Amino acid sequence: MLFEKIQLEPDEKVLKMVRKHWFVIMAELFGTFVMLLIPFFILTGLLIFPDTLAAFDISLTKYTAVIAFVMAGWLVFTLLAGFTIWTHYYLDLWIITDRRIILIDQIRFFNRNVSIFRLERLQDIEFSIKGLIPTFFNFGTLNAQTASHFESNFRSAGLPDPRELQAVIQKATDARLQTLHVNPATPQH
Amino acid sequence: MPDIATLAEPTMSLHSLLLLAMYLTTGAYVIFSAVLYYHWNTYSTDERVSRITLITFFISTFPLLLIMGLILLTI
Repeated sequence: MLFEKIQLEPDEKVLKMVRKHWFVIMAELFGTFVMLLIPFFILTGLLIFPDTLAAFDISLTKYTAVIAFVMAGWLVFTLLAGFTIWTHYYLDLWIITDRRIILIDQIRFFNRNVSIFRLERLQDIEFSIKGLIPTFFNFGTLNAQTASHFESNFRSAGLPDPRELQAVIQKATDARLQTLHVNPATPQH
Repeated sequence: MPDIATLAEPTMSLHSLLLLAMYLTTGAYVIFSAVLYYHWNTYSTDERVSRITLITFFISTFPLLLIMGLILLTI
């Protein structure tokens, strides 16, 4: 499992784990659902207008088994696409601990990006909610700037309740800075 | 001497075509299942969700492959 691989530091507490908003996955899965129904629509259309096939001298009853075979194959591949979407959604993750932010971006199968940002390096964090649907369902984009040499920005879209997320990160950052200020001997790794 | 036009004609029967499709689908399915299992087993944060996902995957897809195989036997 994932936490065995991330290896949290001793006494490190996970404050929040966030995945993208449910609307994001529902919108993607809706496309898959429509694809799932396409052969049924075509078949219904052919049954409603049988003259179309008769013009080509093709009989549906003659090819019932072939049609069923093709439809089953279509359903298999559509379901594979649906499970791919679900996997990418579920494995895409933000983990906010009291010391760092762990950003896991599952781009594709075997294409995974894991970024770790220490809270004391966080300089600025902002969120944006743009559009009617994001405003209505309360999801948006979170941008953060860090003082790192390599990757100074990180950005993630479709996060639920970005306002609350910003507040949690800000609070955790303040607490972390206070801990380091009061006790500078605390390891910064 | 064989006629060139006859040689150029596709000779694959419908059954062979469907058999080839079945092999390709099964191959893709096996590879996908292994990849899916690996990802859920390695990167998931919740064992219960992984289990439900994998069970749902096999319950929803495997019968379709069986149906395809059975149809192929009847053709």
